[in-house]
Amino acid sequence: MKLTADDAFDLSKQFRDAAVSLGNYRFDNWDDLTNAQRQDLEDDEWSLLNASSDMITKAVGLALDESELSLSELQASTTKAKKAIKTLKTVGQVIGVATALVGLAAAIISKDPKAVANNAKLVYAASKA
Amino acid sequence: MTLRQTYLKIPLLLLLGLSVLAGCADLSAIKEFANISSQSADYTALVNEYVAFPSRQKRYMPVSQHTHLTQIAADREIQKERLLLRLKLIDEYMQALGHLAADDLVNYDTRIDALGKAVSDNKFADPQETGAFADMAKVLTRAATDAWRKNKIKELVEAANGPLQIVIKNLKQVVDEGFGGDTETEKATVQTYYRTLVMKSADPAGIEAVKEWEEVRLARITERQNSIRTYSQILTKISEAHQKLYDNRHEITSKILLSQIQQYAKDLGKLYKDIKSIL
Repeated sequence: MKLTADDAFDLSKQFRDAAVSLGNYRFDNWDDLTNAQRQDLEDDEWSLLNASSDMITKAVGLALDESELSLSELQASTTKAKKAIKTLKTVGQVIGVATALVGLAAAIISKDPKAVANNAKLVYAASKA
Repeated sequence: MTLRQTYLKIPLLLLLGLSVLAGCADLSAIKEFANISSQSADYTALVNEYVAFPSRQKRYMPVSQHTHLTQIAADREIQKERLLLRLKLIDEYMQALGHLAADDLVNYDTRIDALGKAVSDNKFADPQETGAFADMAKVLTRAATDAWRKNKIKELVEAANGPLQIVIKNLKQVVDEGFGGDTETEKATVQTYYRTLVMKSADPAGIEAVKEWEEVRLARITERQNSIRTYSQILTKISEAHQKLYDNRHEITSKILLSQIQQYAKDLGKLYKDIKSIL
């Protein structure tokens, strides 16, 4: 059976609870235990706590895997939205270019080469804005 | 008034009337919600704490456990980028939504005035005519882009809600049970470590000092738990507010909806302030 993020989180909690129960037993029976027994129990507590952390890491990995497809879909929507924003900005840019083109047209009609050159530069600048 | 000027005035008045009836959409509540969501979602401190957790544990655990902790640290380091990517993507999505909802993006009045002035200055039309054309252009551009923008927001919310809800739900599980679970494990570790020292010690002054240290460490963990709870609430609010936008996407300018979204933005602002003050 495949392990899910829910299962892994549940297991991590069970390992942690077992470690805490073992600790409580060790402290409650401190005087009745030999040094070696205390050490064995303590070692088991640390191992269980680390098993809990390990299981949390696995659970996080599984949760990330489970949302991978949705993440790509969200990314696609965001890219689309950015394109829409760009389009709205382009409308403003187009009006700017039209403004510069009016100046260029007037310069061409007046047959003033210097004015044509200057206005051509303005059109170029507006198109890059 | 010349005949030509009269012809100009009629459509202009019609358009002005239409624009008043339709009204330009004020989506500032959505913009506000999106902006604060973007800021608060991209809160990376908790991810860093998650990655640093195995190193913190080494402080309390015997050397025999260190290899295992090093392996966990390596696994978490690999996950870091994937976790940060989720925060970044929610941030970017909200930024895009906020930009689309911002009025300044569809306000071309200044540019149109500049265009009218250029036409008039270059004698292509008299100032009165260009003024009228500019007014018409403003109304038309505003109406067209505003309607287009509302439709784009609707399309965006419609397409993004499903994946966004799943991404947030998974992230919330990681925050609640993963980051939250770590704090429970750390608490148990600290208690095991200090209680063992106390039980082994025969020095009353030493025992008091150890207990004080334990309190300090546990207080730090409680602080972290508070920030985890706050961040989890932030994710819940973002999810709820976006679901409301989705449910009402066909009436995105409804006053009731916008007032609810504004309230979500306020709540998120408060939670964001809280989380910033914790860590």
